[in-house]
Amino acid sequence: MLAQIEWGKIGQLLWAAPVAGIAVAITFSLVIVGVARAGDARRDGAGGLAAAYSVLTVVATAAFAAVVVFGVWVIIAK
Amino acid sequence: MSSDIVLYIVIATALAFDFTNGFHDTANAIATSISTRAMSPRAAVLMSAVLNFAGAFISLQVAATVASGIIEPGAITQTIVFGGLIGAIAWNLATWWFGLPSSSSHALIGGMIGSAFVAKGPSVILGDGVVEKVIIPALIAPTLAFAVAGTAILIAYRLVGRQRPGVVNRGYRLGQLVTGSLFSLAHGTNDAQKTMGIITLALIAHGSLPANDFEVPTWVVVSSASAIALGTYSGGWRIIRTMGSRIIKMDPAQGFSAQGAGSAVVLSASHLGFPLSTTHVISGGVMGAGAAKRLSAVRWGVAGNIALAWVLTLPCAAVIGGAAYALCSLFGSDAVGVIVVLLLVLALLAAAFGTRVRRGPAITAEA
Repeated sequence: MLAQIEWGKIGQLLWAAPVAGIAVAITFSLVIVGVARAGDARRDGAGGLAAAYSVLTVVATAAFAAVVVFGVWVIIAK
Repeated sequence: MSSDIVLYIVIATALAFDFTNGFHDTANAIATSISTRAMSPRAAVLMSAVLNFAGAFISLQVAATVASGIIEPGAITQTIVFGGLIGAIAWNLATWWFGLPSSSSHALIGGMIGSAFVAKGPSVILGDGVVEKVIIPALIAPTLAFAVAGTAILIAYRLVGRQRPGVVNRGYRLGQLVTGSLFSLAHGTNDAQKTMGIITLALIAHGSLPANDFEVPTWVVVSSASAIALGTYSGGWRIIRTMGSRIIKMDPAQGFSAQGAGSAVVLSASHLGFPLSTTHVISGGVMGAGAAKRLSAVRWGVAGNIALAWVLTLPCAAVIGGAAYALCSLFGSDAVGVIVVLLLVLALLAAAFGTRVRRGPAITAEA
């Protein structure tokens, strides 16, 4: 009975789902960190630091959006 | 004529199941968003209903494959499908009554197994399929979501730990709009198809559609999408309350981690062709996001009741489905038995909800 089970798919799921879930958490958390720190840096008059955190925000937002778009593609391409 | 009546009743029952599926599973996508105040309850159910409706149109890989791989395909008749639907609806309503999230798919499979078992005997039940499509996914889904959500919340806390709580909470609430939407869309795509499959199967059995090379009629797609969307919009508030605030008291970061991890697990599994129950996944995710913060943050008694409901889903739906089929068959093979069972079920529902209406609502959207 156990031979019928698609262990390969389960094995893939066991690494793919954690990678995707952690990617979602990291990218979106970095968006929040970027926005918060950029705001703080601007208030402190640290223009360079504010720009660096703004770049972090943009990159993290793009990465988060890519993960979401991939999720939508998975739904559509079923 | 008799076959036409059974067909109409099976279609109506399938749409009723679809409706219960919608309101039973509303909590999966939006309970955490409501609990963390990312969205108002009404806005959340509206968003989820619209996306469930849209999701039903995205993929029509339907197929007349209800309980495929679990019951011998040639053994399924319209009356077996009817018995299975009654088992699934009854279990969905019972678990909703007690506010327990449980899998509508497993309830449908259980109902079909019971109905087919009584109709044709144990030889038509494919044990391998039950292990592969029910038992293993039921073990993997909550465990994996628990681990992923737990890891995700620890990472999130680590990354945003030094930021001002106002910014962090607002941010994660915004993120929940995205993850909740993804979850709703995925749910509509997966679950409305079950009903399309049942109706398509009934149409094929009736001879209204060819067995090979058929297209799902547009009215089947529209009615299935509408039923699940209406069910979702009705909101299963009892289960929303359990999922959103009775398992853990969650903050926006935990809500985001549970939903984000849940979406990742559901969509990864879907991508690999190994569909998991959204109910099992999000329940595991909520528990994981709570337990990673503090083990005692999870109300393990509530979690235990939920796990018990999962274990009981298949056998209980099977017993009810089998009983429904047995009752139908007492009246012979024509439509009389199906009509009698339908009237009996409607009378029981009217009695149960009549009592509830007289007592007043137990739970409201704001509860």
